[in-house]
Amino acid sequence: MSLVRWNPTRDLSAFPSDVLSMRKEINRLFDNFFHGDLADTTSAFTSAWVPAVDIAEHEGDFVVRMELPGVKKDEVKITMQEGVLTIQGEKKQEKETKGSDYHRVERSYGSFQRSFTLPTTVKAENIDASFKDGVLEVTLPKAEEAKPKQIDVKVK
Amino acid sequence: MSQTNNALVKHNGESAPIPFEGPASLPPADVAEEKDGYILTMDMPGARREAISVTVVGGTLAVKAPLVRTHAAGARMLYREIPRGSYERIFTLGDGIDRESIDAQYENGVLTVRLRKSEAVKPKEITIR
Repeated sequence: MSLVRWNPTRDLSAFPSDVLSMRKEINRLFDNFFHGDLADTTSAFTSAWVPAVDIAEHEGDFVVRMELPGVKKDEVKITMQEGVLTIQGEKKQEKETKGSDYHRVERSYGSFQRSFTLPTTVKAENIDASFKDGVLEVTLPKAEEAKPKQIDVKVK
Repeated sequence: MSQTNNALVKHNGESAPIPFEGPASLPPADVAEEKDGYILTMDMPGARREAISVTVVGGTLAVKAPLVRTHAAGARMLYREIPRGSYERIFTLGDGIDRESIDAQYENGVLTVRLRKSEAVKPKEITIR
């Protein structure tokens, strides 16, 4: 083995070619956008739709947030059964754009269903849901017996 | 107390703390072509209408929206799937787009941008005499 003097230019030329080709590919997408030959980019996003959620637990309740952009309020169903919260619904493709020629489809459509088991019991009759800017927020108050209790112990 | 705070601000060289919410996320987009224009639809749940910016600079269309997604302090996160960055996406516009008549609308977490084709590229119907 021999020592080779470090040559920064040589290292640069050995830059992974796949990174360069990825950059080229990105440039190609930008170049072609709105020119009409992007049919090959539409196939990558056809899997089932699983909307993203955040579930936060607070002292008195749980707050579930689900990203449902473009879904209408009456197309979402929320059920609570035996400690399992289920959110289901459907996102329909807008009618006005149905007849047009799609160059790119990245957004998710169709039906979705997600279920969550909550670690403590909740007051099912007091569950509250709101929908704002495409985000569904469900607040589930904890049942009295599930809330942490402070017990004062008298020291004799 | 207020003096201590001022000293701290001075020391850091910043007037207000800037919350770091994570990297910008790329909102998914649909592009549909119609006879006289294009409809660009993007899913941007959680963005506030007044905070969304749609700008055309030269040959690009930039869509940006800062995000404030907070959970109450002390919350225990059982699921954390929603990205916490801002939204940002840049599109290159073709020559056939009329830069002056771009219209944007935000509803139910969806941004719809309507772009019209410039007169030069619109299909023309020629009447046969």
